[in-house]
Amino acid sequence: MVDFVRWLAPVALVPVAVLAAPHCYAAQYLTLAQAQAAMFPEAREFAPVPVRLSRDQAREIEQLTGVQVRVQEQPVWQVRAVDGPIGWFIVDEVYGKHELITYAVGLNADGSVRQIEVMDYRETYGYEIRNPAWRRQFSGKRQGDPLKLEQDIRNISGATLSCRHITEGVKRLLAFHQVVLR
Amino acid sequence: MNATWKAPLCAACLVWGGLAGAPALADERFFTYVQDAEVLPKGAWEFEQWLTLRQGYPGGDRNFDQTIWDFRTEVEYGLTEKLSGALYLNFRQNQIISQQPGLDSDSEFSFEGVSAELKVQLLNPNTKPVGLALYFEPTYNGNEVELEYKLIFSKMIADKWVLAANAIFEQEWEKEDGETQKESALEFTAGAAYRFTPNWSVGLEARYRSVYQGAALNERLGSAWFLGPNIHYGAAKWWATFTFLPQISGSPSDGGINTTENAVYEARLIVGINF
Repeated sequence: MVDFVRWLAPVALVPVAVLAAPHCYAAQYLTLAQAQAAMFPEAREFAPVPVRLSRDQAREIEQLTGVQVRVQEQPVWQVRAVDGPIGWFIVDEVYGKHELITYAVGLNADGSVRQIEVMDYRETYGYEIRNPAWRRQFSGKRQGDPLKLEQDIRNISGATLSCRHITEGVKRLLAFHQVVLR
Repeated sequence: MNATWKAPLCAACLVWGGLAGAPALADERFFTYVQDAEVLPKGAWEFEQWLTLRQGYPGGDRNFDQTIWDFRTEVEYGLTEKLSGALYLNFRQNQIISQQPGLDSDSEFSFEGVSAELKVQLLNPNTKPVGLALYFEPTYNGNEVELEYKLIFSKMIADKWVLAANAIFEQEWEKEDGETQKESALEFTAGAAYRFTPNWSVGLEARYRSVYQGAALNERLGSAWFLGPNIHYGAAKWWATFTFLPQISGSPSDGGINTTENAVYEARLIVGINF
């Protein structure tokens, strides 16, 4: 028993040190207001028009995209400038690996993607999806585009699940625009 | 400092030194006896502690009960996007309890050597139809050298099902009384796990193990089939997987199972910590 303790005690301290060390994860990168301003600096008003999907609408979105609709409530804002509506601002959540990622998608008035922003990231790694070059891949995407990793969206090695789920989320929201907002 | 504490503290310092200043990281295992084809991201670190219980009879002798606890401490690092490496410290508590009067019991705790690991991903299981990786692990224990080679297949389906299968070849050379004993083993493992929440999964693991005399599968000594359940929890900061693996059949048979080369049952817990 003494040998057991003598050998394992120092090694057993390692996880204690690891858990006690500061961790860099679970970060809020943008508040709602910051995300809205980043996407639509010219906007005068963000009018909330939250949507609750019917079963038929959810089913239609799933059939258009092959992506499951996980929740029926979708926070949506109509974006208005001086001359009138200029697009939509939508907040969505998808799972990375274990934890939810909160992100926002800005749509132009024609339904194409203007920009996406990561607001909250709670996983330990995979935060590279915030990389502007990776997010720029979505600008201009429309309903019907493939939106598939290693096809029209480049993957980030080490963040594959986060990349895939964000990509599927944007695909789902483009279909959401076609089914509900257009 | 008592001299008998120096060696284990030095071993732990190697682990601490490797962890110091390490940046963000992480990976997880849905199985404990089956590997998947994922590798750590480049520059990522992972710490794992393994605890394996093997219960059986020493050499098949039912006059004794044998309980073996294996402890493995691992530090893994993502060398490139496709290649990860790891170092292990191995310890064993071997307890033999006499079941007959007049026979002696025995208990021994030992350092079982250092292992290294290289794992290279050839196909990413998240983006290809099937994931594929190659794995090599040498172990050195002063008197004993082991080499382990694995071919790893895995796939995650719809973020719900995790499937994996491994083909494993092991070679062992052990110096004893001036002679070198050679053994080899062939192993096939497979696992299926279902993620019923983003954090929890349950599954099954199967394992076939055949042990041979000689380093090239020369003469079969015994083989066994194992099958059992597992459960896994994963969070952003840490994960844990537990498998219970009873032997369901084996040969040469001793009451339907092989007890000369294999345990009656095994159980394994692996805890991984992300940082």
